Amino acid sequence: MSSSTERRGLARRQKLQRFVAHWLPHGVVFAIGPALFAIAAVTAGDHFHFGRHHRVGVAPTLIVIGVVLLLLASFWLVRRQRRLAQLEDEGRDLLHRAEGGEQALIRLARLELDDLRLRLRHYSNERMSLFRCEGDSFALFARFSANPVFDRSAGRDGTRSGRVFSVRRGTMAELTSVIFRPPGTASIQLVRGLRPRRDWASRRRRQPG
Amino acid sequence: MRSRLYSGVRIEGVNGPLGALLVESLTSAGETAQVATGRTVLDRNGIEAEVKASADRLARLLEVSRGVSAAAIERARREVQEQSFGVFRGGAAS
Repeated sequence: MSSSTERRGLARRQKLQRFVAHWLPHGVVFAIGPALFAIAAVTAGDHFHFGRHHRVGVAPTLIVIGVVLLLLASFWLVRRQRRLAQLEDEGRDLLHRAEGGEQALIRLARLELDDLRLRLRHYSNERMSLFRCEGDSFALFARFSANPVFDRSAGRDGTRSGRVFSVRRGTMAELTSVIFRPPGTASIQLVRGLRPRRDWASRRRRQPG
Repeated sequence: MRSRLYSGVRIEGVNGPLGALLVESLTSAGETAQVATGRTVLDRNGIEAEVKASADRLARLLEVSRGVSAAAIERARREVQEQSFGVFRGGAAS
């Protein structure tokens, strides 16, 4: 069996366990109330003595206990649902804030790249990409080019960061060898890459300059 | 013939590599000569010299972005996991 199937099975079992653990008490409490009412129906006329002078009927006592249990369970459920709604709002708010923060960071990075581009006197032929090192891989963080077509080409996919490095494998190996070459051995400054993709080249022909 | 040329510099923090700046140029052989004479397009030393001026800011952005992305992904993952129970779900609310 593959590991992904095992993981899915484990997740399903955990989900089921959580479901049972959280809903079993509710089920028991909600079942006890009607059960007490049913018992009260068959104990009509029975009574017991509370203290020396108090004679208490069994049926009313069971009904009162059942009502109190159901009220408590309902209160618990309402409180839980309110808290869940509150947590959902908080989670959504935090997610929006995190996404907003990430977008702001990407905008800042793009401004930096634009500034760098101007200092390097790049034209619309060039594109700068900032990649974040994540262990043994790269994730595209921000990208900028003066040419909008080049700016939005494959690899950027919107402004969301965390995308996987989307250059072809051969190019990736070349890039890695250049970028992570030890300092002082940067004698090769240009890496001859692959030919541009056909769709990119055709778009370039349609948009001269 | 046009080809895609690359150059890159790495950006390092105190604890190791933070990321890399990649410069791509879609240029021809004739324009490559211009690269050597005029503009700093893919000259790695030139790029490094310019990147040094903004290396601190880029490194900071890379560091912070790692935390924000992780937070966003973690929140999204948790939200999806919680919503899989629908409105009624267990866990933190109890």
